[in-house]
Amino acid sequence: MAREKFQTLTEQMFYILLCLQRECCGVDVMARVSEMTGGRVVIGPGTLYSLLESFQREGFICETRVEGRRRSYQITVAGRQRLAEEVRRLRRQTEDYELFGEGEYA
Amino acid sequence: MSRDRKRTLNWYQINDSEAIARHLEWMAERGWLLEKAGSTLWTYRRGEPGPVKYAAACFPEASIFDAAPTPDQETYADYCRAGGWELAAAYGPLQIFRATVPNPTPIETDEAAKLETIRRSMNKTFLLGFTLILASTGLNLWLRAESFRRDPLEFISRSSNLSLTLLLAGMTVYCAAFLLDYFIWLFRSRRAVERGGTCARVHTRARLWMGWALMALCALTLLGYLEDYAVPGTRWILLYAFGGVLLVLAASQVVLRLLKNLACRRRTTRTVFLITVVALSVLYAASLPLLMLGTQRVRFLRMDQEPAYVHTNQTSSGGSCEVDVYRDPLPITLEALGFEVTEEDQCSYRAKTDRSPLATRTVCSQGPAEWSSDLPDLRYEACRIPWGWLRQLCWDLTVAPENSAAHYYGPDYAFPAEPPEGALEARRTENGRRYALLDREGVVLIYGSWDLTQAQVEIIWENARAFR
Repeated sequence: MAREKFQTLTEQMFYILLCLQRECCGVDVMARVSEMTGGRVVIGPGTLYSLLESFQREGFICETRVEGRRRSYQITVAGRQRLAEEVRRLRRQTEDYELFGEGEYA
Repeated sequence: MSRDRKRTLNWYQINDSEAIARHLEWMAERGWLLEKAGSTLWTYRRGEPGPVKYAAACFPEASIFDAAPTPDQETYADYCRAGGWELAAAYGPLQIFRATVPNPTPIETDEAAKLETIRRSMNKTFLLGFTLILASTGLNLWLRAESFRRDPLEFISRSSNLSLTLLLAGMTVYCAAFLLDYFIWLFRSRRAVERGGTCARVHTRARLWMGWALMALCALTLLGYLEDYAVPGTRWILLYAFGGVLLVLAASQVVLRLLKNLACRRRTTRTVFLITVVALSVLYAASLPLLMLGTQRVRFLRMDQEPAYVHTNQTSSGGSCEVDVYRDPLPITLEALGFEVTEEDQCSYRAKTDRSPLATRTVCSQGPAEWSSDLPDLRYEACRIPWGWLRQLCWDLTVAPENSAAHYYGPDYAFPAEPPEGALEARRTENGRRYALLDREGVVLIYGSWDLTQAQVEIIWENARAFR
């Protein structure tokens, strides 16, 4: 996946990175994200595999443990920075909405 | 095949995920559960008829040369298991899952990631194969076109030529349409995904119909050959010629299975498999002419009927050479043209007719089988072509300077001749030994190994055109 793809994180990318702030086995990410979002965000197994692979290639996450076929991952410093940037972007969007969508410009 | 197993042809490609799932669900409703997916055949086993949910996905890292699932592939399958899917079958990057829970998580929930896995899988599998086939069929089609341009009368009067050309054209169109359809799909999907949409719809049904049409063309080609080469005792060679391709494919698959059973590494399996395919193809290609040329009794290549007898000539080196002698009835003979033919000449009279939906062509020839004879050779061919445009095209190509000896091996009909009664146009070669004549029904070509007189040309013309 091209690097520019991560300039804006999709909801699924966002929650995978958020979930991996704590070490987590890849196979458990789907359930944890669903739990975190109350079932609102669903990550398919194929998508999860592709995204974990891409994040690892980009250095956003790293493999921390391999137990048989169970592989655990955790977010890296670069991943945390990317997540923080995304949060700032979303926050700015929310502020803009509050200013222009609900305020005097509405 | 037992009643508990069933096999179907596979026409699907990797981006047909929805169509594959629909097809498998339809089969499951009828009690057939997918057991094994192969390149051309899918195997089903008998099960309880009922609703079963299927999903097809891509795993680009998987290869048909893997002896067993790779650790990555197993991890991928574990994720899918956690999502409520079990692996039903896999062939290379194509992974087919069966639901184990009523509402499983969709395997792909991100269209961009899905598109990327499909693109990578297609690059690894179908694209190279189809490009090679397209190049091969395109080259063959060009060679067929050249063959038509050089000798249009022979080309259009043989059903085998026409059906093989049709098959090659069909394969070229199929491969070109496949590649074009895929790249258009990729372009439209990329655009849609960038705008937040989903991957574009795949034209599976149209491609399936094209696949069946291609199978029909294969059958038509075989029929065309059987019609042309209907000499008793030769059809088994024809069946070998066509069935040999299937044999090569089947043998390659057996070798691949053996290598996998031996648990060879991916690279080793791929190398040995490719070498085997090339070796088997070369063996098959070499065996055909050997069969045709080596089996003199069968006379496959010339497709002759049995001669009346065989005349043996003695060569200067003390050896011998056999020449077939025929006794077919001819519309005009050397005797009728004023030549004296004796028993010592061992004269052969031969007529052969080829028929196709486009034309009927009879080639007559007479000449001595005895090498010491002074008797000249006579040959004429009369071709009947019902369609005016095709008749004119064949005539133009026959007398075209590009087909003359200067450019090719054909005669140079550069000189206008006096058209006999009923002929629209007549041309001859410079030495006056070859004539080409056109009328409202077709073309007549005359060749004599002496300088033909106008009167002789007119007699041959009258009889040859009446014989058409």
